[in-house]
Amino acid sequence: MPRKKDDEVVGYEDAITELEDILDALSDDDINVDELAERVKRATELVKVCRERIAAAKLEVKEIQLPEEAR
Amino acid sequence: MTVAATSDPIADSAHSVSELIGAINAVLKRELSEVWVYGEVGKVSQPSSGHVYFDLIEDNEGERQVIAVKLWRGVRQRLAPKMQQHDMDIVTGIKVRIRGTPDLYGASGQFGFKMSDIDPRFTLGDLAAQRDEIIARLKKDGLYDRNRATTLPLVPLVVGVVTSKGSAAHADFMKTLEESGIGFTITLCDVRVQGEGAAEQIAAAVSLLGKQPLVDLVAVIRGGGSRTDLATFDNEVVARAIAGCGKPVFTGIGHDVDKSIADEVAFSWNKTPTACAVAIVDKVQAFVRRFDSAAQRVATVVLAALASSERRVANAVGRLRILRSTVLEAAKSRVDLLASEISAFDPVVLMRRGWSITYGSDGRVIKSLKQTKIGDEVTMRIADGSISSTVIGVASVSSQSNSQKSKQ
Repeated sequence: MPRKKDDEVVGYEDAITELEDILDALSDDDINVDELAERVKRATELVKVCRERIAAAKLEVKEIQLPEEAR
Repeated sequence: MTVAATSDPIADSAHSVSELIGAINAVLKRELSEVWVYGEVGKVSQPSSGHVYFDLIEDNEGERQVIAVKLWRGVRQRLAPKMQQHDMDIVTGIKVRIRGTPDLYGASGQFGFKMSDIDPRFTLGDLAAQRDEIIARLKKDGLYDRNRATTLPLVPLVVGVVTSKGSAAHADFMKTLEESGIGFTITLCDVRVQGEGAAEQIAAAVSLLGKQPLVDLVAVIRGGGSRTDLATFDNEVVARAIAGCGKPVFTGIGHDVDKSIADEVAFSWNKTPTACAVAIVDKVQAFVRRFDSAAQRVATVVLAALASSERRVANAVGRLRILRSTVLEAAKSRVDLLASEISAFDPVVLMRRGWSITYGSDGRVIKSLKQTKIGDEVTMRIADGSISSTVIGVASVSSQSNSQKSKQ
């Protein structure tokens, strides 16, 4: 069954943007430990979701037929 | 058939079928021997005999004129080096200029044209001219760069594939995608990639896949072939379908001569099916690399932050410990010192040694002879009590030994 984009918690574009934002925030010396922990938790989640989606699934093939008049 | 009468003028001039065919062919040979003719190649058939039969067409705005051309195996073999040199073949849709002799084939009564030579420059020149015209038209219609203006998703995982199912090109393409270990989803549309109707099928497939909402990109795949074989991909119908496709089109049309028009208008053109698959895999891997690098940096930053706060805590604890002991020590000795200093001045201590303090009747401490006179009542404070006395005599320090007396 093909993956449905509608079901995606977060798009790849958003995921990488968020991850890079987190990185920026973490690089800030003033970040407090609670915030750090929160951000790291979110970053870990993002990495897991994206990795799984890209690598875990097997290659899937389906076929689509040309309409009768085009054959 | 025997005709009896000798006086029949019609019978004298009549031909038998074979005579007529012979006569026609003689005329054709005399008048039209080894003539050059040009037109578009229509339907081609290549039976196992090795001969090639094809239609040579002239299409005058819908009015078709056709000649059936016969390319005998021997002639074909003779022409093969020349055709190979120019990377061309007899395929549907190309324009050719060929030499030969028309003839009527007795066995079938069919008129045809026995081909003896070909002028490849005509075909190639025509392909080039046609190509330039098509590109000019696409530019004029704003189609030339249109597919490149589409947006390729950051992680293209759903790939629409237009190819001839089961071809080597198809296999090469799939192998590269599979070996990447990336979870692609392929939507395959099987089409003819050469011959009659190929261009229309490819165009229809590109449009169809372009309309699938889940498809991220459309790959058009075809193995290597001669330049004329690949003429399908120079076809305007294909170019227009690619240009107008709502999804980015990646081509992998095996050839190393020129870019086809399909390549010209594609979002990404690649020289082989494998290279096309690699280009798609690269897109996903670029994202994975970027993502991993960001994740790696997050980990580094976090570890560094943890290490740093750990150090700070350890430092603080250490400093506190040192501080506590030294401060206490210092405070303790200071207190001890103060205590001893203070005790040295404690009048009680002094009194125990025999010192006393004398107070006048007004309660003030008498520090000088000037504060008292004979007859004054004074009180002497000693360590364990006090003594009340009356001054009976005074003497300054010089006569102290005999004069400073007090009466109890």
